[in-house]
Amino acid sequence: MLPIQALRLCAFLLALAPAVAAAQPGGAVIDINDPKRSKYPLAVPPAAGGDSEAGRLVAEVAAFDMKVAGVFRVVDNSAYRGDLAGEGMRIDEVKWKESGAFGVMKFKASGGSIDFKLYEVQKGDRPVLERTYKGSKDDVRKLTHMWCNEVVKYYTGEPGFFGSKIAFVTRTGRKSKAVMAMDFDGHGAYSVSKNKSINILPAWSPRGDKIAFTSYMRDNPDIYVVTGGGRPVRTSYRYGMNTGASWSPDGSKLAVTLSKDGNPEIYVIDSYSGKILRRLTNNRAIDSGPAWSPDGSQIAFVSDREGGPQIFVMNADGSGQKRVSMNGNYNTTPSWNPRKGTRQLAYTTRADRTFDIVTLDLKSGAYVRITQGEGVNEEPSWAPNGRAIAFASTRSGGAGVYIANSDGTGDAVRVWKGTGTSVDWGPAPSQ
Amino acid sequence: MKRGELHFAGLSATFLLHASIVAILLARGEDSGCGGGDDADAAARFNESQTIEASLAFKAVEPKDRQPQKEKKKKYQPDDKAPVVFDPDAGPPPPHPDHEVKVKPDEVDINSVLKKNRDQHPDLSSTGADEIPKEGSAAGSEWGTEKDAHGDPYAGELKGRIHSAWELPSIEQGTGEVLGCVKLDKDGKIVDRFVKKKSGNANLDRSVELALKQAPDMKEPVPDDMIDLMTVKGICFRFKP
Repeated sequence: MLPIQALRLCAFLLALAPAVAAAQPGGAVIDINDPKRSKYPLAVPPAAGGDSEAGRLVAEVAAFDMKVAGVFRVVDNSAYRGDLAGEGMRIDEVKWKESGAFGVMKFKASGGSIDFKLYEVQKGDRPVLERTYKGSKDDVRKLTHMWCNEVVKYYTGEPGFFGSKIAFVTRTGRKSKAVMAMDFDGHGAYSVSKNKSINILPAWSPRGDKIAFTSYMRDNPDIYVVTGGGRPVRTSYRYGMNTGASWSPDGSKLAVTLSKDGNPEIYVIDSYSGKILRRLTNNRAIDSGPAWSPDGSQIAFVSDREGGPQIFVMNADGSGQKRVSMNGNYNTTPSWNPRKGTRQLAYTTRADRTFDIVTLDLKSGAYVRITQGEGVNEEPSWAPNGRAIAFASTRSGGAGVYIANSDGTGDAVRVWKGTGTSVDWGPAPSQ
Repeated sequence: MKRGELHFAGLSATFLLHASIVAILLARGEDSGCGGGDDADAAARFNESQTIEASLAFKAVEPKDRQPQKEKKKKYQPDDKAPVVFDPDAGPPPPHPDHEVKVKPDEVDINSVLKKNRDQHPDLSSTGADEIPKEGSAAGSEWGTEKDAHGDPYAGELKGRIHSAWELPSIEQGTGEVLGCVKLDKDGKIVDRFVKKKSGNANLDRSVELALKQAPDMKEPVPDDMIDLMTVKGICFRFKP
């Protein structure tokens, strides 16, 4: 080793001599590539004056939205050593740089309006984005969600999912379940099914104006569609099972599971009349849980034709049926990533005698575990922009509906406390 | 025992057996909702709904009870096999483009010098510049890589410390390069850090500022032969994601 080390030292000295000599004005240069990738550090300080109650609510909603957006890390405000009251809606970029923030969000609610400004500390004290929204105190949440969607769009070029809704099922009695809908952050929950029977498996229509679900209100599992706050309309009520609706992207059709001939098979029916348009599967196994791809070309489903339940994908006309889940012996509840250009599924898998959420990229084969070692996690559903996944969990933090980053980073956040299953995340809100 | 007594005993046993079966059936009937009450019906429906919610997929059945599945499993892939790429048109991910170093006339590219050095000495060129660097260097540094250490362990460790502090937000997909420099005192403490040339990309520039600010000091004094470079002229790093 000694001769090699001596040789190495001599070699470096020889190399360094011309380097130093030639580097008189500029010095030596070493390349550094491939940085660690991280979430964008964004500060959401308290309101810059104005109505203190509304300001507190804006801060709370904005911080939550940024936390779950999937791309930000909310900077601890205690890291800021400047004078918040003094700077008002402006920023002291030098002080904010010291806090580690890359971006700073400022806002003030007063006189029926909320002013928002976004700064990038590297670009000085001129805001890179600003908006003013008008509305009553009841609109503070909604207006803040709208602003946060703008912030996500500024940084990513894609709209955020704030203001969207999640449908789910909660137990309302020992022998009854209700389909509910709520804001994605758990606020404003209301009953959709409006009966005392067993109601399960809700599915939002692509425009978010309808929900299809399965109900036992007339003793048989039938498919109902409810529009807005209206009465549920029974759409498919054939002998046997009518269940597991998934909307086509144009909203005109539903992929459903029917057992009218004795064995559960997947069919496409008209979403208005319930008329059968096409039978997609035909074999002795159980085929269920259809999920229509965002571009309408394919349908994922669950089948036990190869033993245990596995995820399969077929073309929308039923051709080309192919198994895609190869991990474990139990995989169910597929859900497509709605982000344009992706071909990615999230589904429930059983591992080590519990259930977890995983994602599978059908293009690259990349397989990511979203939950692990945190109780039972089931029934994933993607956020409208594909940045987050909602799912049902019974983890130690408490049972309920949780949302987590779809890349598997960060901690899941509970948005519904109590029993929550059959999670379905609705489309993006119309701004 | 007389024949009549035997006959009586047999009849009694038969009666008791039938009575037991009827009792069990009645009990099961109540449990499963066969009694016809509303609660019993609801319980039956509830059980059915649970089954549907599990995508009709044997959730309540333990794997050991699913003989057909076990048998068939052998025919398919093992659990830990990588998922099948479903899209036949999709090719492999594009290779990471090589970053060719372009050196200005007034700057010395220390990478090429060190590489040239290794090429001249077979003992040092065993790990070529294009090989993937292994963390945990032969020189014992937790910061530098084996590749860096083959050029100079001290410079390699300094680079590793700065690299470890460099974090770029994942939303930043733009390109560019930033020239960031540091000066050390003789004990290896970073006493000056500055961005010499910005990229114009706010996130990239900010990330380099933070990396230089947060890079930990060197634990060892600057070697005598590098005093001038490290403490007077300064050593610069070209940050290029």
